Amino acid sequence: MRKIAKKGQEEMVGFGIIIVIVIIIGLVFLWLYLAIKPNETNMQDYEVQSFLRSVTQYTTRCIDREYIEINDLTYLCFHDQRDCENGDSCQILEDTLDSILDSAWDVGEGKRVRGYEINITVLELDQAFIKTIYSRNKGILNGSSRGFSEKYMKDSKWYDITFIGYYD
Amino acid sequence: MVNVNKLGQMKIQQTAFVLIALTLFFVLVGLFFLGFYLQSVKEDVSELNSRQAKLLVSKLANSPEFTCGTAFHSKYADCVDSDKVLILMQNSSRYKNFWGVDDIKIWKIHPSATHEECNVLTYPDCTTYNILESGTVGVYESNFISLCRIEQEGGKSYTKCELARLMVSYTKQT
Repeated sequence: MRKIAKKGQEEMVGFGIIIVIVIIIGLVFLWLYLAIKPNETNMQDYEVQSFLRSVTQYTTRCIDREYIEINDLTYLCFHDQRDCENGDSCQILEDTLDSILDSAWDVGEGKRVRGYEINITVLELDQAFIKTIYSRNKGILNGSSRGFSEKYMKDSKWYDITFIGYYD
Repeated sequence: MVNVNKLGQMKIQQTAFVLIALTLFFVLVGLFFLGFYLQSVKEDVSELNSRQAKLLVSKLANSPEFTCGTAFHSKYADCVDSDKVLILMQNSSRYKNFWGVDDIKIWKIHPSATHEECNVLTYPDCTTYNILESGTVGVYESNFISLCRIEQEGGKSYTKCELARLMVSYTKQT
């Protein structure tokens, strides 16, 4: 009786050892699989960055000031300088950005980019909020977001352009 | 004596069966992993091509062949000189294997009044610059750029920058 019990114990120990070995080998395979998977490089950040940079460098028409960049137009808009040929500077800024955004980002449900929001704000040197010059959002504002902020200083004020893209 | 022998044989048989079962099990696990790994090799090739295209597209705008550089007083980032691109298009055969991708295109997003392909006759009122063309159907990776040139109006010159997408294509492994 005692012999049979001992034999049963031995079998159980053997079975346990086999299970442990199988688990260890499984873990080694899993580790190998994960180790050889290349790391994902997130290029969505770069897409948002390059968009903002390109937008701020975009040249628009404002006759008295000739051709100016969006950067300079935000400055004119903040100082309420209505000296453009085809309307005041804020209107031209708004029209230009609306048109650029509609051309550049095809957003919506089932699209690669679900939505976006963009804000241009003016800040004091100590980052205290002064005014929002332009603000727009479109599409579905949830999901994996990628944002970037482009800042420049003029006449002791910060001009901050922030863009957040919501990816599928 | 006969009983003891039989018990010993049984034990040896038991061990042999366990060993065979274990070996078969590990061989099957190994085969499964190998199959899975080999299947993912093709996907990895595509993934690597995609990564290469993504990295290239993020760096290409600032390479000497494209960048606005000192001609625009090094003022702009991610800026492509469209005059340079036009010249590059005429010498694209020399750059066929230079970047290691199939196609390189620039597509003007804003403003885009016409949908014409860019060449010496249509420039600058055109939309698409086909810099490198292989004729194969590939997958595109793209990035935003400022497409700039020096314009003249009323005897005065100024910099005109437009919004464009720099597109790089690679062949996807199937």
